[in-house]
Amino acid sequence: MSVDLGPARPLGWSEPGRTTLEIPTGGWRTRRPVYVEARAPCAAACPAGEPVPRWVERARQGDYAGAWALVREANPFPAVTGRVCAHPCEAACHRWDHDGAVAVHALERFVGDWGLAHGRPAPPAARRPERVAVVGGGPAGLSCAYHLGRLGYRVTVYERMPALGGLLRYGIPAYRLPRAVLDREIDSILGLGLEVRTGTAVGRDVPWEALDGYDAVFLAVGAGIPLRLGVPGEDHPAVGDGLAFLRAVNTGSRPAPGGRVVVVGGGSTAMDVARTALRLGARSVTVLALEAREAMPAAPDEVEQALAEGVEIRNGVGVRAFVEKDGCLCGVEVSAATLEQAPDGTVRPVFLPGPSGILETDTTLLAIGQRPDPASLVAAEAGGAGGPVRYAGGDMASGFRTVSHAIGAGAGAARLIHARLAGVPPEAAADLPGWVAARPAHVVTLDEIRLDAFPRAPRCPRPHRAAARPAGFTEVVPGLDEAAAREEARRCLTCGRCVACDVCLLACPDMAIRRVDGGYAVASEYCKGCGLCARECPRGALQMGAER
Amino acid sequence: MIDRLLPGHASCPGCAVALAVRYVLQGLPDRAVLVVPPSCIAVLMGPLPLSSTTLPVLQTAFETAAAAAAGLARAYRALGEDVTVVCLAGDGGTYDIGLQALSGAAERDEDFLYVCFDNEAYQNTGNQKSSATPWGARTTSTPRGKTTRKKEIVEILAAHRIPYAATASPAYRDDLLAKVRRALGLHGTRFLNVTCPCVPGWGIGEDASLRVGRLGVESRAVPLYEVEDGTRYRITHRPAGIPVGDYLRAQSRYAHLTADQVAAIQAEVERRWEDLVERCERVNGPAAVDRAEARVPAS
Repeated sequence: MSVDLGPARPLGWSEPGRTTLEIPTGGWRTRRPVYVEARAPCAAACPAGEPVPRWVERARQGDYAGAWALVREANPFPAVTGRVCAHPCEAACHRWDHDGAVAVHALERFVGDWGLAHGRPAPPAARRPERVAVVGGGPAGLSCAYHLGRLGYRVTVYERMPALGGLLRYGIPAYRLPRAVLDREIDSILGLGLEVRTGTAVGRDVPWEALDGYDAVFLAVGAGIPLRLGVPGEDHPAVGDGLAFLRAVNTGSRPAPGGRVVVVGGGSTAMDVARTALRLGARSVTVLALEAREAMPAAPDEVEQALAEGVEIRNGVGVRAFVEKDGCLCGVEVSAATLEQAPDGTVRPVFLPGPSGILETDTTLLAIGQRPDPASLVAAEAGGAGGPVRYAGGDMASGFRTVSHAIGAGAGAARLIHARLAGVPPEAAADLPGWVAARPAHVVTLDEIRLDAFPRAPRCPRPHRAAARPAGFTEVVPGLDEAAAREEARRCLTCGRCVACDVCLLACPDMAIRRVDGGYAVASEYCKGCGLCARECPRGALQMGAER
Repeated sequence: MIDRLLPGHASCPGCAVALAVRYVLQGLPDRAVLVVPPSCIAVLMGPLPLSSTTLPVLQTAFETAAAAAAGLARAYRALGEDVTVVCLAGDGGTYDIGLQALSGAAERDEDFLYVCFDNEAYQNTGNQKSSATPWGARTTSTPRGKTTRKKEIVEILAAHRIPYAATASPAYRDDLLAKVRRALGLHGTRFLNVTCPCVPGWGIGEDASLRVGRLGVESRAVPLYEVEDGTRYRITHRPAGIPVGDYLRAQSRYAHLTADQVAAIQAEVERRWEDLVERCERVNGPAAVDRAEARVPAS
């Protein structure tokens, strides 16, 4: 004798074949789970507007071509920004207090370098008739030109200097940004078919009226006028401008800063000036910064490398005067100071009571910031009146003077110009599958992340080659190899984006979540609306919404 | 992964028993029969004439699940059929009403897997206390908090020297399924106590049962371990050792506890944990458990 135990053939008491599938428990529901794509904090913090978790996800899957293409939707310079960006994304990372932020900066460099070696840039869209002039070939101008070029516009870039790149080329030293990397990323932009007029300053070599024939103009001529301290003795010829010093070095001359060099400033430029002076043979380099060590605007790793190379940094000191003796600069009078922010946003020293001291010096270089040339602002204001609309961006138009902000400003201007010329809304619709709702305005908060679902894994180490008394300009920080990059990409929580991890599927007591084309669907007839799936989602990609 | 629990069942929204049953059924072979005494699982299994599972179910009287399972297992063996018999019971039908039948079956080493879905009270009749209710917990029949301790059911079963007895949690699905697989690889009476946070009975949110389950395990209030042949103890998940107050505060059934009472529970948790660690060491040697790591930090 045998007993039939086929599926859905209960032994004792229910009617054969009849199951609770007949009961639509979805009627109990007052809330429903919705798969969303919200903004990750890193992406929200990225001045260049990169969709960080999306490209990191591609890198994690080993799809470097996809990762590179996604980065370049926002930023044509991943190999550059992967080296010189101040990476505010990492400070925003929800992994920070768990086991360290994801090393997005290092990953971006890996992806950018992969693109330089293997990447095939997407061809531009169909040629459009409109012409756009971009004045200034730095990161903002090139970013704008790149985005417009991809959309098919005829773009002309005017650049005052003999080569493109702006501060990337004439400011940042090669030991941080090798010129081959910069050249290749610029070449990749020019591959879109842009017209380039280097060595051509608008207003000097061509008149401003020459721009009237364009349909739109983007001005990004930077902030070229160095700020001064306004203290006695500052006009001495041995008190130089740090950026001019870097420009001289980066155009091939090798100015030899005499023996003891003092650099005034606490930002990235001050570190660049100090470390470059050391490489050119300065006997000693001392940086004077108003800020405390941890409050310096320079990135912590730059400060660390500068110290490792032998730069002395004195924090909390301000310059009172330069001391001259027999026509020679012989010292800087310094005393303890803090800083205060003036209403116009500039930083001023507030000297503390106490004695001042003399710091002996042979050369002093100021790296305390720049401001835009008023003439360029007048030119920007002069738009309209029959001529094309003028947009401005980058350092000349913003107090956020970083490469990434400039890239983001260029991209933003390109969107506005495209919106005006082509009549399309500036915000493009997100490219999402049907089961995901876009929530671009919502930035994923830390309590939406279930950190206990992520075993602690240490952040990848970033060794550098900074050693005392560096001689050359070879790159100081090596990149990640592929294994390390994959490992690091795996640490990304992918905040606010479903990665099909099945946690929701397995957390449903009602079997109401089903797999559909790479994602999930909620069975409306059975979901009781408990919210376990959303609560258990490790990355805030599932939210409860009111039942309609 | 095959789901043998079907949607449309009648559990409360967010029910951890439903989830735990789902996981256990995922771990069963196709040829399995379920035995269910009155419990939340009986509610879950569907109102007449419907069933919420693709497996055959025998519903029994409250005190007879283990006896019925023993009879079924013997009957299938007599028929020469390779059918796995699994009891799915609640804590009332296990700790209290069905204990005699279970003890008898365990002593005879009857061949079935008995899974107790322990939500620490008679929850489907309205949250009356059972002998699985912990000290201090408020139920409708202990309105000022229970004054006696929770019964150590796994110790009771292990004392029968059955081949396998273990604790589990739906918040640790891999651990739970590994234990189901381990039990199914053995013969004789095998016992699993799955602690299931209860949305209405424990006073937690509908979306909180897995989170509270994790707090219980990580605070060591609900240690995950297994016992083979009644003697070989093994801790299967090393808890983080968070204060038990984090677990208690997440549930309104403990809202009335004073700080001293929470401290007393913490001391009890530590004593039980030390005891468990000692049992593991006695069999496996000190290397089996890192004592320094296993010790509860001062809270």
